[in-house]
Amino acid sequence: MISSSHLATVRWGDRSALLPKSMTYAFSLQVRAKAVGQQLTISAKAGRLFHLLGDSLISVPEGARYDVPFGDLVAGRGEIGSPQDPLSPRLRMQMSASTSEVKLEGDPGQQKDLILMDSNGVIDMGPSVGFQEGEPRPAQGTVFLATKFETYMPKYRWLNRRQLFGVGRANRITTRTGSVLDSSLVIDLDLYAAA
Amino acid sequence: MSPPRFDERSFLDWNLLYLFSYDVELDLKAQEKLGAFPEGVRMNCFARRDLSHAYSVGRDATVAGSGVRAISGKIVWGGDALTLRDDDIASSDIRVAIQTDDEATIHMYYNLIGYVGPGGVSRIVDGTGDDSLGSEEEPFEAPHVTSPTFQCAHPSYDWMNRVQAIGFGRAQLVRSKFRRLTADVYALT
Repeated sequence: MISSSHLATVRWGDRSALLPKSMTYAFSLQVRAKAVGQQLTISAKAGRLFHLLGDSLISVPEGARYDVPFGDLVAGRGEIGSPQDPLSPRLRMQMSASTSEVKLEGDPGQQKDLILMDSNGVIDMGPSVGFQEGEPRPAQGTVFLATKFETYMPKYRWLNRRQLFGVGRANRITTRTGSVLDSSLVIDLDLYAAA
Repeated sequence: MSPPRFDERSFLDWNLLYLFSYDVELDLKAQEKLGAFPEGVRMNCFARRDLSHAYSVGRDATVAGSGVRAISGKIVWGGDALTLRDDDIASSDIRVAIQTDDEATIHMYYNLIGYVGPGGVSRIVDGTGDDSLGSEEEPFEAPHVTSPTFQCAHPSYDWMNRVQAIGFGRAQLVRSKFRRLTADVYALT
């Protein structure tokens, strides 16, 4: 165990032991995004926040206990790579979730219970699977990302203060309707708090 | 709203692979306090290239289990665009260039969010005398968790372009000034 007094006395750069670390499961996220090339679109109820064991409270590594947010995604978008670098494995998703029933557009109460999520990470579907325009093929892969949150709700304000780390699986599904081939990316993520 | 429901799947497998550690000594003369903006107080901090480096704590020659060369070298440039928000949250945008011992340049960048405690931001911004954070003898230590990603064109390290990493670190403050950073970086696998 490295203590602050230990760090203060060790000459900088001479550390020969790892710092303490801990990660605890927070909650899970499932996203089903419509994929057109590198662009992802997430529509209302195309995903959700939930706890795998159904718990409503979690403990973070520091020992504090917090409420688990659960609910449906309201909207979102994402991008894999960039127009300049279509082969890049970078994944960015910006989503919002509502912790109560999704209300109709224009409802003045709609924004009160939103959690905004900004996720950046990498997706790996194998070396021969790209996300450029063209006919998509079914594929499976892994996703790792870090997520920042913004919310007004006091019970979930703990999310504003930390990043959560997501480990997940991605599954690209294609469905043909007539001559139209639709592609969806289903991402299952377990989010962990770290300290 | 119905209560959260059980999901059919189980927890997903994952692991951490230790990549490297780094130490950064910040250049106190180069720190820039830009002042208060609507989103918070902005500061820029820069690394001292003569006292900042990346290394393996075990002095290993390879990254365990992968056979690829361990990451070790000098930090030739490091910058931190820090925003200290009114809600006592510090948000950083950090970019670091590592020049490895075999002359590859690895660009590491990440965002950081850290809670500095009640009144922590005002102590960092305005703290003087007894109200300042940390002393030479007893630096104030702020644990933080980072989410580095990398860019590298060198063929020996291009595997890092596909890595999402996680860093467990400590920042040290002396008299309310950020003085040092140290962190261990792991790949999420």
